[in-house]
Amino acid sequence: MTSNNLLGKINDEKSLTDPSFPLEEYYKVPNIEKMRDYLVKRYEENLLIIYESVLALILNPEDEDKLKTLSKEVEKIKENFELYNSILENNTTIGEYVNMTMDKLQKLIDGLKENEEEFYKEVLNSDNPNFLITTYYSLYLRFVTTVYLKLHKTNITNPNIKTKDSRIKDVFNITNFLVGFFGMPILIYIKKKEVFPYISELSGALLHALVADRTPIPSKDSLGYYLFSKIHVVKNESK
Amino acid sequence: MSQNEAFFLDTNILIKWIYREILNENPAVEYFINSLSKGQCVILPINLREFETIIYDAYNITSHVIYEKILSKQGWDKLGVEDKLRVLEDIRKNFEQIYEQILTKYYNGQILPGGIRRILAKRFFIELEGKLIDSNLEALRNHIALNQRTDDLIDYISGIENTIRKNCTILNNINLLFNDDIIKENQLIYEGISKYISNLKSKRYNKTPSRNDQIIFVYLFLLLRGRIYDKIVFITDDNDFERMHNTVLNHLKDIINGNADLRGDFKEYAIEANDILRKLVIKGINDLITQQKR
Repeated sequence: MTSNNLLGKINDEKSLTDPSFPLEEYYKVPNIEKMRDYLVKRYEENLLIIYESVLALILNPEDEDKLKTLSKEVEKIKENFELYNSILENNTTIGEYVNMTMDKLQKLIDGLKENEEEFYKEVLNSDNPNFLITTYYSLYLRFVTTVYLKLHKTNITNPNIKTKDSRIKDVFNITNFLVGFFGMPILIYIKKKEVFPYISELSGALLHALVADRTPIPSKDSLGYYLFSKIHVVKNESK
Repeated sequence: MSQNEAFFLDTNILIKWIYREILNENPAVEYFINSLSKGQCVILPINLREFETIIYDAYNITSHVIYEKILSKQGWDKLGVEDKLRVLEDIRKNFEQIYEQILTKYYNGQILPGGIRRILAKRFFIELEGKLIDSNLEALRNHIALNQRTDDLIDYISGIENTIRKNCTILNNINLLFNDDIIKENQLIYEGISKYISNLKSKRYNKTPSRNDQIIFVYLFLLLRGRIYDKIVFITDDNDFERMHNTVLNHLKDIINGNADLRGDFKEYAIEANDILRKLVIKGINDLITQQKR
């Protein structure tokens, strides 16, 4: 974040934080346009592995075999993307790698949470209010939080071995890739005011995983539950 | 029917089934699905995800309509019930038009056009009308424009997913998908699919199989190849899959006959792939329904 930016915000008497900051902390992106083109291409070629990894991370974070298969595929597609990753796998012990990842995730979640409402308000009050990007932000925040909570339970029996030799590195490897990948559309929007071309499909992937993870005890003031009972339940009972 | 024979539902069938009443579909679709055992009725996560994304798109536009026409206008909460009803009726009557305006103005290229999203969006709006009248403005804003929208969506979709899971198996077999050994047959299938796509393009068809459709096709192939199923009947509502299937089979035949692979390097694989793909049957839902009646 440049000091200019910060001053601008202070003068506006709006939020004192820049919503792109937590994301930029996580991934360094020198050229946002290049990144966007790169992501579009990666997504088009690898959507299946991206979908499956999201699902596995949320539903089976302890399934080492599954994650190993996925991690191998993720490795193949992340080459250049890895350059942007400030979390280095090499030359660290698994304990260090896990701590770094968890620390970054925690900061990301706090930063996103802090800026959440402001982000929605800015998008909605802009010339081009877009409900896909606000929902995406909220889905992404939920996704990262869910992953963080699941990873928090990971038991590291031997924190001093090299990351590359560790059996649990896969889940963190996939996490770092997905958190970065899915975070980029938000960063692109903040920086360029552009909505990522596949925003709807990416949202669908996050939504699907979050739904699959959910124990269906809806709160009673939920409009979703209300809609469900009106459209799908009453119908059956009236028969 | 042998034990390892299953019916796989395409996304368009999920829509016809779950939204049968809204779409005024033939009840036979539902009867047919109910007649299958849970093991026989299979859905790939990729289809389920596609289905959920359609709901997601529709609900976002419903929210946008409510936001633009109600929440961002001054004084909604000051209106009496009758005036509120009048505003809602006005929106309802012009919903299709408002939907298209918002779609073109704000979501061009982001949300696919298509009647199903519009129909769902309108239905969501109609069902929410009561809440729009009752709820206080603050609560409404949280649900429609701020972060509760995501909770609402997750609740709604989990309800639907429960219904689906009660009747069908959601199949996920990633080890099958990412297995390096089968690359040669896969390559042939993809070649066949590319042939199909370039064929369509040369005939100036605009609609070519989506990336999802291509993956679904390969997924079905792998499920048969891995002997997870002996026979798969893929149920769909258009003939995209059937044509893709035929073109791939023709491509394989060309290789087997030596027309497409003069040195015969791929013959062996093509024979295997061809045998496998013969166990895949693509069926239109209407054929199945009429068959059942007989």
